Amino acid sequence: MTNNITPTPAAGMALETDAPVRGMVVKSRWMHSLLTFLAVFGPGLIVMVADNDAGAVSTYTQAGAQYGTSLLWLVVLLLPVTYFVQEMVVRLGIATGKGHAAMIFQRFGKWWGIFSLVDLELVNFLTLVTEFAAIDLALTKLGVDPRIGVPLIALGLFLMTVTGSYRRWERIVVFLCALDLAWFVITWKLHPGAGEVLRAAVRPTMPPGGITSDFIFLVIAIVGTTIAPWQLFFQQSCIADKRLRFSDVPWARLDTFVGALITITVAGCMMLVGNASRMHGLHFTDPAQMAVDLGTFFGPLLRNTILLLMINAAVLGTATISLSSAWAYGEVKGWPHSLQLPIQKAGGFYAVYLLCVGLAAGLVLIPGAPLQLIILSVQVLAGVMLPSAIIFLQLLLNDKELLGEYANKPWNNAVNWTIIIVLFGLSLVLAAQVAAPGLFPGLNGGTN
Amino acid sequence: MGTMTTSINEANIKHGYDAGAGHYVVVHPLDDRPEEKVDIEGLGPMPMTRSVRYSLFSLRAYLVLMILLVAYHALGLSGLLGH
Repeated sequence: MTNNITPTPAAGMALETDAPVRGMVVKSRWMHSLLTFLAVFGPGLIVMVADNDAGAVSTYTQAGAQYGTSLLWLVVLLLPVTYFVQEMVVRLGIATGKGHAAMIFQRFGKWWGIFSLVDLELVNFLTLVTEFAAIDLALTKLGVDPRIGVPLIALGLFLMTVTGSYRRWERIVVFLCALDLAWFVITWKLHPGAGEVLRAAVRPTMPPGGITSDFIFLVIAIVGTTIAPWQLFFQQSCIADKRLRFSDVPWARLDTFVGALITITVAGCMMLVGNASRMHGLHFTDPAQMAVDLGTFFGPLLRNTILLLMINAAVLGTATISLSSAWAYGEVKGWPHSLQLPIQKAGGFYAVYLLCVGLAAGLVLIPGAPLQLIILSVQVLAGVMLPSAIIFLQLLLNDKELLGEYANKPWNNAVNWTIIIVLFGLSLVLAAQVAAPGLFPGLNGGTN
Repeated sequence: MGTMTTSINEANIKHGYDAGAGHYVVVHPLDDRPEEKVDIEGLGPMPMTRSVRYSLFSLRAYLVLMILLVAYHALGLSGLLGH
């Protein structure tokens, strides 16, 4: 590095330069590598698996229910895209030890900082409402009163975050991520046909009815679901809070790749579950109803497992999206904002988290709340925000004064600008179509 | 496997290997000393060319326009605009 460097503790924490360093002694090199990876492992996995939130369950199962395995190749194609975008955040987070909101504020100025923060908080809050709407729906199908279940889940989300230990929080969330592997078991039980799945995953095919407006919008929804703006803010803040070091860069990249691989294969499984409902002639309305319908063929265990996985997806989404909001707000306001801090020392940070979770949970319990309108707004705003969020990331990653040897290489830029151009095109079509449906008379279908 | 230690002689360790003791040491990031990072406060705002500045300004205008468009559409759908 050629630039100025300064010792950076976790946000808002005092420097503990005299504290003894604790470590684990091992004899072999491979055990050292394995344990170092496990110590670094977490932020990449969490950000990727949490991306398969309630909205993603809905989008992927709908894609499978409507188009079978025709869109599996698209999910596979998104693996490198999602990895390359998040890998940039890894380098930025480790090199600066700061969150993404703080970076935008300090490198692009106050106005861009406030603008990005307001955008993020707005879209995040609307997304949180959709997460709790999914929890409400799944609880109802499970026979649990949402008026009891939703506040209990919100309380659980608060309690798991305010323990004052990043490690404890990470272990709980990694455990919730591991539960997502049940999608593999469900898919295996549904016997999707390995040969057809492999063919559909590597060979792009057109859907049976040809390219329609519904198909185009489902493609856009899948792309928008797989890469979301909050992910950039979350992973960078998470890396800063975990205090990852320069020597951790290769392991953090591996963590991100493993997370991307798991999330993409789980997304494929969700699509195959949707495909199973199609093969049984079921009409898709939402994933909770799909679980109930599939239960009539495969039994209550499968039905309840899908409903519980839907809740788990929403819980993971809520835990991470609320934290990305709280971290970003804390960074910009200059408040202490670390999961390592007890609630007494980071009151503002935890208050933002509680406010996000509490308000979103409360809103879905209001009878007649305009949930469909909120879901629609989330899709459009997220689609509009994503390319601009990545442009900031791209500019920061080309800032050699800031990143030195960790700045983007020419091949990074070629890949990233291609991704940005494609995302911009898709977001423009999505935003224009949903915001002004009469703009393109030939494309009047919607998907969600 | 390994054993937990409470203090480590960091001077002897290079790339996780303690040459004096002949073993490797794994330190969790949260147990390690805070690392020296890039001083972004000292760097100040990013220097931008005029074209980058205009591009970002256009991006801001696009975002404001789209947010207003979505808000108008949402208000229309909710019936608050009276049509």
